[in-house]
Amino acid sequence: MTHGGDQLVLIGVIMGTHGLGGELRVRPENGDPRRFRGVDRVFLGRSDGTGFQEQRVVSERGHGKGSLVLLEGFEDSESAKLLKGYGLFLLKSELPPLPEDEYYAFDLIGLDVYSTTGEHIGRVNEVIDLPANDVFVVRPDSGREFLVPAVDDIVHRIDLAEGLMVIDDRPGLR
Amino acid sequence: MSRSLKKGPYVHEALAEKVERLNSAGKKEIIKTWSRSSMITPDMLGHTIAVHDGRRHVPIYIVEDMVGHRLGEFAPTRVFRGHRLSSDKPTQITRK
Repeated sequence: MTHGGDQLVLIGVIMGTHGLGGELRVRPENGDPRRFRGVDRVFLGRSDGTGFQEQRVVSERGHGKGSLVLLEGFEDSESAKLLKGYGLFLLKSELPPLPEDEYYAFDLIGLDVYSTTGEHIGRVNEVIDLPANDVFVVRPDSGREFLVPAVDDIVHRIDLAEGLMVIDDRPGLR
Repeated sequence: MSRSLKKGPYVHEALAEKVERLNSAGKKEIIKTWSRSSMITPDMLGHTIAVHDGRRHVPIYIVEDMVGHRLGEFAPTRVFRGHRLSSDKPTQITRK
């Protein structure tokens, strides 16, 4: 999903409407109810990646665990109802920088994984969100894929610029 | 009825032995287990235990807050992945 050469990133999903003024109940993907603070435009699109349309954000506010967002052109409940199930996207270049030790999953996919001894182990194929710690699914050049926990005890270095991840290939990991 | 205090927490025998062996040797290895019902004890802190989720072993790094919970609580058998790949939800590297 791209727009003008830049990747579109899902930041929220419209769950329904709130009141009669066209406010949309949005579930923020990163779990922060104030996710839309300071966002003045979004791309509205279906989850299958089609029908993208740029929309101005008129207002936003937190509401419980979600957000209430009012989009220009959908300022009554009847037209807003039609948007249920749509996604709200931002351009990748517009995403805020993350603190140290936090990464966007789409940046990690495809990183080359090396052991501390310099051996090429495989590539990050998937990132799984688990209750204890996130887990990287690493696909080796040959053989079965294996899981690497996203903990600094095992993942020693992540370098997005060089496209590599260095892990402690300890016994039992693969 | 809750488990008798006299017995202490339930930990699968083979798992407890492995943890004890690694602790006494001062080694770090990934411990594979199928015992989802084993309770997390303080001597497991700092170890990575790969808990079977019915399909594969999911590596769980044991931290203090997990003590008293069961291993299976941290390796769900039904994983909802949703839009994770293209969403802005960050992945965090857990610190010791």
